[in-house]
Amino acid sequence: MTATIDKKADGVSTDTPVAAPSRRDEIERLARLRRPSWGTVAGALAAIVVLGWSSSSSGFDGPALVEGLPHVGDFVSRMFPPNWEELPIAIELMIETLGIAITGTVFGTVLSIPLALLAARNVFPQPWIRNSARTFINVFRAIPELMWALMFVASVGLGAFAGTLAITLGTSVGMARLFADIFETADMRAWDAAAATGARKSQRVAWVLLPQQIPTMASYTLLVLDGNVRAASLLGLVGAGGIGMELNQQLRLFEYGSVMTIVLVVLVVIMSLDLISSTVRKRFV
Amino acid sequence: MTVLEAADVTFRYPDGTQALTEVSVGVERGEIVAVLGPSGAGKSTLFKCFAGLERPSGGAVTVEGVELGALHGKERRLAQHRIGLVFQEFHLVGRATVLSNVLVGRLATANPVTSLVHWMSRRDRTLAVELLTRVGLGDQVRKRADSLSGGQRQRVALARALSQRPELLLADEPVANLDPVLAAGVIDDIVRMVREEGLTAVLNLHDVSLARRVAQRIVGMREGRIVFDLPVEDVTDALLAGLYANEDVAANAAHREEVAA
Ligand SMILES: Nc1ncnc2c1ncn2[C@@H]1O[C@H](COP(=O)(O)OP(=O)(O)OP(=O)(O)O)[C@@H](O)[C@H]1O
Ligand SMILES: [Mg+2]
Repeated sequence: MTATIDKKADGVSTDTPVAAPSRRDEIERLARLRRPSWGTVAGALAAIVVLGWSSSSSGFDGPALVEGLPHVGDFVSRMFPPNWEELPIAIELMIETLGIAITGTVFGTVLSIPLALLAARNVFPQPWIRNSARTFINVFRAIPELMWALMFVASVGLGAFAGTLAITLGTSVGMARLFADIFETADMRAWDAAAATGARKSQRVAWVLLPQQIPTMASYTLLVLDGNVRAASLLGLVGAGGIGMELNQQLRLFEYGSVMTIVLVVLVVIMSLDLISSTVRKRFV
Repeated sequence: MTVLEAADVTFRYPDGTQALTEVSVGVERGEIVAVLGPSGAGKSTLFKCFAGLERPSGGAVTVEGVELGALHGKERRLAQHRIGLVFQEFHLVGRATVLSNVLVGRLATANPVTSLVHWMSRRDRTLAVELLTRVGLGDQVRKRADSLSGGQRQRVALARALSQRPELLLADEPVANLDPVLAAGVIDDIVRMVREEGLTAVLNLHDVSLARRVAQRIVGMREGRIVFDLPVEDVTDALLAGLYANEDVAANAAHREEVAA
């Protein structure tokens, strides 16, 4: 915005004097555009009201925060030094966490592809197919992974298997939505040409649609893997395996040094993963 | 024997545009026919009707006696397989290799299950490589299609169409996206391959000299109707001038307006 106005201002100095006033009018008109409109003001007021309401219902309390700060400081200081004896356990459980996340991401992605194809208008033009697939996806996507984990713990018992199932399910519906949108933006000319050779729809998916879209899909998969490692680190809180279970236990035992070690391991792993995946993703796009 | 037959084909787009009016034309086996006409004459629409991509609103198109528009499912796919298509904008899978783009032309008759994991028979792969070699791309088979030049891409598309082992090759402005020198080369390749394979071909072209050079017969179209349908030696400059007549006038008028503005 500013850049445009600057350019016009430059124009004023070089233009003929006759043109100058109209240019200035134009600049003032543009400048007025910077003033907030009534809509903006109303929106801002609404935002303040919503924020006030949500912070009161979230139990956010200014004075309590100030009073509590020394306790937070105390808690943090008790986390030092980290208990390095915890390290082997933390690493082992972090590997389990990664296992849950990676397995869940891989199976979830594989499951998401057929679902995404059903939900993509350009693959299945029949509205009833697309609408049922989209409804199914949206209903299942509305349930958070931790809730799935709770349900799977109740049905298949405590442990990593319940966590893997939860991540698989969450990933498959989440990715199905993403992939369906990716498929719908595909260039369909090669698809139509393949159809005109007499190729089946399944063959067109395998030879045209997927090869065209796989870099984008892989990039999103890596992004989702990142999120799944985070989610899997928490699954233990509901007994669905991974490092979260140990974290919960050490907190209950007031072993803050061990807690610190666990947090550090999670931190290092997630940051390295982030670094690796962003490097790899850059090569895709 | 007539390979392609259009009988009183009329075509109306959903928005009401009448693109073809009672077009009748027959193409004999082994013939190479060029369709010429000003922009909007209905050449692309006719191409789509011939290829079975659109169904005429009136009349019928038959390829080897079969009406494509009336077929469904497997029969339709197999009938389409016998017609090779070449498009103006190539319509290739850019990220896939040259070879796999050509193999797409073999899918209709390949094993429906194993082909899903890109496993194709040795015969299919040999045919694809052989065709690519014949269009001068023998050493590019492993390259990505989007790394090729325009002329090379259209040759890949030609190899894809020929890999179908079609009876009939239809091309809609196959060289309109290429510069004139390249265009002549690609058209020559198309015609050479059509002759070598003993195919029948209908080429929509916008370049009169190219059409005269390669076609045995020229069909002139204008405003959705056939104006003339003659052996190439009978197509006079006067006929061609008439075919494009008002377009020139209109184009000149538009040009004058542009200059005046
Ligand atoms: N999808 C469409 N919907 C409505 N009208 C269309 C559509 N496609 C083409 N037409 C109209 O049909 C007529 C014939 O178009 P067509 O594309 O067949 O002409 P063409 O001879 O191929 O022209 P060009 O040389 O510019 O490619 C034109 O009047 C055009 O505007
Ligand atoms: Mg056209």
